[in-house]
Amino acid sequence: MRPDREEAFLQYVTSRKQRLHRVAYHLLGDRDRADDAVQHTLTVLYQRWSRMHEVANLDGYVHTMVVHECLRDRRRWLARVHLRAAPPDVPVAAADPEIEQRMLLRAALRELPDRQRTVLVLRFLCDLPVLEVADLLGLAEGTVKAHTAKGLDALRRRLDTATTRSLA
Amino acid sequence: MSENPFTILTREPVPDSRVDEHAVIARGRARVRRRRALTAAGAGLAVAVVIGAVAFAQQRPQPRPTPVGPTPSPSVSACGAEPLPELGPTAWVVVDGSGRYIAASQAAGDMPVVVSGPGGTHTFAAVPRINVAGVNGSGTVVGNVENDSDADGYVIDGGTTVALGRPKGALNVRVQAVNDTGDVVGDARMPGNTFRAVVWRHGQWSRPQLLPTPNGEQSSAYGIAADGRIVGSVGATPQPYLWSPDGTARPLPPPTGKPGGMAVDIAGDWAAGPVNYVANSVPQPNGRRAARPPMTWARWNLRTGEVVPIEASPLTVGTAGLLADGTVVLADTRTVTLWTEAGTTPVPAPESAGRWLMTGASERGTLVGIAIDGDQRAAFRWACR
Repeated sequence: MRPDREEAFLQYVTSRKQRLHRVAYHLLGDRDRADDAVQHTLTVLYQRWSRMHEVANLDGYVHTMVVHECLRDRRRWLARVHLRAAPPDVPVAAADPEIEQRMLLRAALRELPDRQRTVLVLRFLCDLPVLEVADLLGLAEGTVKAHTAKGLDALRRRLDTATTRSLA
Repeated sequence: MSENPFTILTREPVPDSRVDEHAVIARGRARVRRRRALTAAGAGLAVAVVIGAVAFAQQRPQPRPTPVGPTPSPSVSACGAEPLPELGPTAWVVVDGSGRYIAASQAAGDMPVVVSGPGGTHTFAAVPRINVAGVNGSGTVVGNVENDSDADGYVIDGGTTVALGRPKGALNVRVQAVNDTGDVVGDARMPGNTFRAVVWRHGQWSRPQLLPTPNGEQSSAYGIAADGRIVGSVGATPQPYLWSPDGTARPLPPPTGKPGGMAVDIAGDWAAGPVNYVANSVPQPNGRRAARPPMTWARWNLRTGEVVPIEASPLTVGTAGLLADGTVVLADTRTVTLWTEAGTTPVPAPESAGRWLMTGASERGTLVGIAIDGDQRAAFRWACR
């Protein structure tokens, strides 16, 4: 790649990687997997970078790439080996009192089907309007709305069950 | 549920991305080069086929090609790697203190547990996806099934897989080790996201006992010796700790200038673990926090109380184990070294392994690990003593 293009790529990645990481982290709920998804997306983007001037909405395009990579990651995850080459973690009390509620919500979210979960994350965590989510996922607006309603309903049921179980 | 049901998650601190832009560019360049090379090779192959066809048609006598033999492999030391094909594709492998039993989580299907020992090789699949954490000299295996919030501990004892009981009020339990008596140690996540070290006595799987800590401080247990001594950590700013079978307990002081840490392995008169240990400020999704570099490792002599920092290598991963003579097995994803105060000895990589990882060590010097080649993962054993 020409040095000037590579410099532009470097600047683009530096300015966008945390935002992309946030999307991936919310979709996957795991820092390592989010890093993997973003790294893979950006590596593919590097290969296509010389053609990117043809893309009207570059941010939207890269956003779509990350979302699709996260969906692929989720499908691959069940067959993937967990390498636990990490230092032993230390159990410490989190100063954040909401951590358990977040865990419950995240766990309930992960149990949803891919489409519902993705729509909910993009709409409520990434704060994207219905139209943009529809574009991003290649769905009709009505379908996005239907996934949202079904997802919220399923989430509500799961959270009710989890709360009941923890009180039992 | 409020208007935006995810408000609580939007407030969650998202950890920083660890993606390195320059590494992305390096990978991107490598991919581009590979693609070009493949294209060139394809073209070259086509040319070669044409030339070959012409040559064949002309039937010219050709000199007999000199056979190219494999490159001689480096001499295998006494600590050479031996494959363990009976374990199949392996995600993680552990060994008991004597080196007789080896247990693995398979990297295929529902990840059954495979145990190889004097009685042959057996597969346990009653509970899928158990990540093995330890095996003892009777073939009893302990492991965890990771779930969305943390993990659930199991023991496979006498061919039966049992979910380990939780202390009253605990949300889940995670196991770390089992000794030759069959006692199991680990920790329990209690309400408020605090953790307590737990021991399950052999056969009393539904009756966990919390290990005592000063003022009921939180704690975790990582290793248990054959005689019942347990090592772990105590406190939110963790301190290495030792529980003795007589009910007494005491901190293991880290080396001077390297505060905080934990003891994770115990063998003979020795314990080892990370020190200079600072927990990350952002918890992982499971509520636990990993250490932030630079940490280092230390070895305690439990008889004399002496502690020695181990500065042998820039460790980023950890130790694979501790031998009964005090040798520490230092491992990361590229190198494995046996450390003693007299010096270090490198452990040879399995032949043709791209990446490899030492995952366990017996007290007597049998090491086990996995070699990783693309999606392939195979178990290996080293006999180093």
